[in-house]
Amino acid sequence: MDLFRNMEISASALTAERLRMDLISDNLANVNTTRTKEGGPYQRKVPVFSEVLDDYMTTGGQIVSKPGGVKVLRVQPDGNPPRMVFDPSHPDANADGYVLYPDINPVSEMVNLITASRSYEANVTAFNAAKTIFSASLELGKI
Amino acid sequence: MWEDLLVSRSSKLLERSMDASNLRQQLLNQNLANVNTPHYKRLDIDFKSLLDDVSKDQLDMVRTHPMHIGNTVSEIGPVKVTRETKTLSRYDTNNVDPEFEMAQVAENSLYFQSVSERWKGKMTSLKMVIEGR
Repeated sequence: MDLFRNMEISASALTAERLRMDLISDNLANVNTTRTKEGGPYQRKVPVFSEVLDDYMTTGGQIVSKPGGVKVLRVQPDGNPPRMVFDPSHPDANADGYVLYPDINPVSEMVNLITASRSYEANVTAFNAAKTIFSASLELGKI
Repeated sequence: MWEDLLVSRSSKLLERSMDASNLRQQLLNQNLANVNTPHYKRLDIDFKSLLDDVSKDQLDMVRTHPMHIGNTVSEIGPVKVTRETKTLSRYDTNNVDPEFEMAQVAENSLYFQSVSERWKGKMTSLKMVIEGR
């Protein structure tokens, strides 16, 4: 039903922003992780957001697309080379005595966290506005 | 006469306004949902096409003086959606301005409420006429 679509759009954004916050927490938690299942140091994870448009066919046979919110296409490692720290006593040090650490900047992660949390709040407000419209239209039947 | 009373032009116009407002809410929500999507361009209702339709579609009124204001809105045409591609506000070419969108969300929801209040008002008067009180 089309009346609920605006709420679904906001809900999709809430899911996406929350996933983004999860990834930021993951990045911050693993700032010193030198070992992963794949081998090598932890790689910073980044979500890839993409717009969603749902296609519909009208009775006239025309294809129209309606807004469907946002989705996370995939989560991918950012591909930055690891940070080299000289620490021969570390169990993961290489032959030259260097340890590979993930290249994560806590400051930029915090900035991203604030962006994600503000976007989350903006979408909650949009959701509430849609709810107000919905309740106002329910009142129409009470005449 | 009955058709005019039950389905009046203005109540039709109010209905269309509510439809358009609901559609606009969807578009604003879509914009806010994609505030962090790179290369996303904002969607909105094509107000220019609405204005064109309105000026084309005019209601005839009798004018007894050249200074009389004649043409009023009779009906709104189909509401079109447009994607704003020309503005630029960020380095990733996304052009959603969250402050602007939030202001529009607040405005739109109040607009819907005022239109629906007016519709209710019309229906209350109609009910009063039918009940004869």
